[in-house]
Amino acid sequence: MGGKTNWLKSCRVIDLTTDLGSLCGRILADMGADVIKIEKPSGSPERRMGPFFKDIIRPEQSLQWFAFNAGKKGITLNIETSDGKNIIRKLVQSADILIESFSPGNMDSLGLGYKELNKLNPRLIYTSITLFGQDGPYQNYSGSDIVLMALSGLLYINGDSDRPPLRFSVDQVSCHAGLQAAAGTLLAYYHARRTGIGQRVDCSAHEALLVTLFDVVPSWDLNHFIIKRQGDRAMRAKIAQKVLFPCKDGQVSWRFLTGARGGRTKELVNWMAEENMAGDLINIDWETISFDDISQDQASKWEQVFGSFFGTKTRDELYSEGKYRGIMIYPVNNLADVYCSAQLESRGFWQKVEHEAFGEEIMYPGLPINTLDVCNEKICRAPNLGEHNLQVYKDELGMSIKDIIILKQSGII
Amino acid sequence: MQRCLEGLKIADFSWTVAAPLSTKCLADYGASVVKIESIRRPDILRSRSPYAGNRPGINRSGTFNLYNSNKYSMSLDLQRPEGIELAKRIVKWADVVIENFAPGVMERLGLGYSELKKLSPQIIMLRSSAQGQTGPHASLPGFGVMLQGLAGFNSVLSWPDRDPLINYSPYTDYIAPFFMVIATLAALEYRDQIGKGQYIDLSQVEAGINFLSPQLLDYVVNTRLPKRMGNRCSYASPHGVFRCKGEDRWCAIAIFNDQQWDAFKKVCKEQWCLDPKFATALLRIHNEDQLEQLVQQWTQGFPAEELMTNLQNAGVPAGVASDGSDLFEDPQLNKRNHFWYIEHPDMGMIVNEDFSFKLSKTPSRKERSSPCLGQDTEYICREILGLSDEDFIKLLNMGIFT
Repeated sequence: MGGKTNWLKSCRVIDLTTDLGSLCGRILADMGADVIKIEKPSGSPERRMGPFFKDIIRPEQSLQWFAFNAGKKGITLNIETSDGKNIIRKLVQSADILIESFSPGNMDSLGLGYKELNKLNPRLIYTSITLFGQDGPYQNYSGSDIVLMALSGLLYINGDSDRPPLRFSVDQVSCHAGLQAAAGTLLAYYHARRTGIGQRVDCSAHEALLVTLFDVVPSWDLNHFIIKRQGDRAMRAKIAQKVLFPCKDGQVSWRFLTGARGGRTKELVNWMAEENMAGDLINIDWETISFDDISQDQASKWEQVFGSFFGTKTRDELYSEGKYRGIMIYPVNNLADVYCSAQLESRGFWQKVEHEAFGEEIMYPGLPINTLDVCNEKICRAPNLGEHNLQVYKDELGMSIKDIIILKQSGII
Repeated sequence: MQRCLEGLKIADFSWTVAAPLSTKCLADYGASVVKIESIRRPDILRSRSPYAGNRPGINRSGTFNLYNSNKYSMSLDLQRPEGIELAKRIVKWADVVIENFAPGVMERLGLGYSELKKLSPQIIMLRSSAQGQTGPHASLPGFGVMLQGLAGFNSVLSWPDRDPLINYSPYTDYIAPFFMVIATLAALEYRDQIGKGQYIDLSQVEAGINFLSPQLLDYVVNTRLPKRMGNRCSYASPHGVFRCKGEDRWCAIAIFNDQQWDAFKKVCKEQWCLDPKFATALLRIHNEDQLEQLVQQWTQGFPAEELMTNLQNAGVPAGVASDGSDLFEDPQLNKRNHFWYIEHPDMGMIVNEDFSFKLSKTPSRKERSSPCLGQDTEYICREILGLSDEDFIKLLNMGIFT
């Protein structure tokens, strides 16, 4: 079942991400890589981010830290000190990948930039994740989730038309940046494995969101048309098509389809007719009408009829009967619904992760893939602060306990 | 410049957005991607506006163009045994087969995993579908705009006093493809090591859910659901989207600490900035309603671009809510060569987009626009499959390439 694989088991990753792009290392760990997250001695800023386990606000209890750092080992290191830099230099020599998300130029100013580390290990993949990229007019711009949403175009096209453009109430930018950085990193890794040649992977969170805009870019380029926000509707040809409909116990998402997929609309109309709620819709040949010929007025009238029908049924009724009849109608879920999904349960999507400090196992979302080979390894929880210091410094780098204590007391680890 | 994925061969049965975006990534980075299409049942994105010159046509969709750069197109009638035969020969040529039909379709075509494995024991088959190949809800296909609701995204997109809204674009269609690229490359790595192929069953909804992990843990552990907050942030104020001068022009401003507030005061010289009720982070949140109104009154006097520049220069996170036309003017996107142009056989010079990761030694290639339907059928038959002239013409006359 899902969860993790061991396909990247011979890949070693040094993870210097902060709150930006942290998901990158998690995904690589889920794919089997050995990921060492390096935090400054006082802990990553991610540990400050809520929500918290049982609302106990402590650095070892941040659910955001848990979510994006599960599967990683954790060490502490102040990379601004000379001992810290030496340790980084040692670690990269046996690493395949280094990921970092400091401001542009930061690692360079520490003498730990791509050029220097590439000399030590020519096959190293050096992935840098920043808000806007390594250079350019915005390289020093301040950012946050909503600012990047705005500049990427995703903000403008969402929300009700009588109110300002709208972002998700949950941070998303760092997730896109981290996910796409993982893809870019593995592209470079594929090449390095075959040629021995490492390279820099320069990832921009701002640019990462551009991919989510669907037809916004070609609409302007081809026809000088600006896509605008329409609340619960989406622009299609000349009309704003309703997508979310209230029903008895919430909302469902559905759109009327025509042409090649008009049969699905026909199925719904047939169902409605069985309950005498189809009205004039039964006379429409959904398979031959062209979407491009439909007016807004016409669409809105139809949508009212469909909406009245949906209003008589629950989400479950619409979803299960819809599935049986081949109608693409979906419940609008909250996260409780997601967690209770029979589909996710049957696919083994939820992974038990042990948190011995709390004396319980917590269910986490796993990788979105199932394979025929089942990986029997479980996902490990995110590391406590400095949890693997001894394992890395003593066992792997051969440092003495005495030296490790010196480093600890000097604030270097 | 060497190609990143030099020598990698992909048999691409995918259509619409999610899976083609993954094969576009592989193609842009140098893999040979043969997109198998059919004139009888073309990729539905080929009939998606906007069309060049507002003229519909199977090779005139600007949206289709975005997701299919650098690929070859072979048109095959998969309802005919000869068509299936050629498809199988493409599979034999390929390292990876990628598809996103509804579960069961590949099997009905005789191209299920067990068949493919007979042809090519080390084949990697990646199947992307709405909810996976197995499970009680596997059979229903779904579009990203609806799958986002299934994954829980609509429930966190709205104003506190309104029902959930949609994200305009098929949101999960932009999360799944990168997991597909990751899974493909990791499976290839594994195959190199142990000599075994792979069957990968990817669920687009599950991919999307990964972006809500902290919130799901909050539900699992604390039985708490995230609130719809409009543009607010529970721990920062001002944090929102403010109207600027002009028609539907907005600037997002987000101030998280005293440092950024001090910087804001350097730009906004209004008297109310000095009011002690806004002097600390905690006080700014407690007085959020009033603070937002005051900021809103102030921003209305400025064009969004000017506001952003002044605030950013002082060190305040601020960003114009860019519309489609703004993106083309964005100096940072242009610096990163995000938009690239190349001649398309039917549409002329139209826009393509690059990915957000720039590889220093093996950059993405910008060699071909999306293909016209069946544009490369003959090339593929001769050069990749090694068909003789007679065989090609025979199949052509039989209508196999439709």
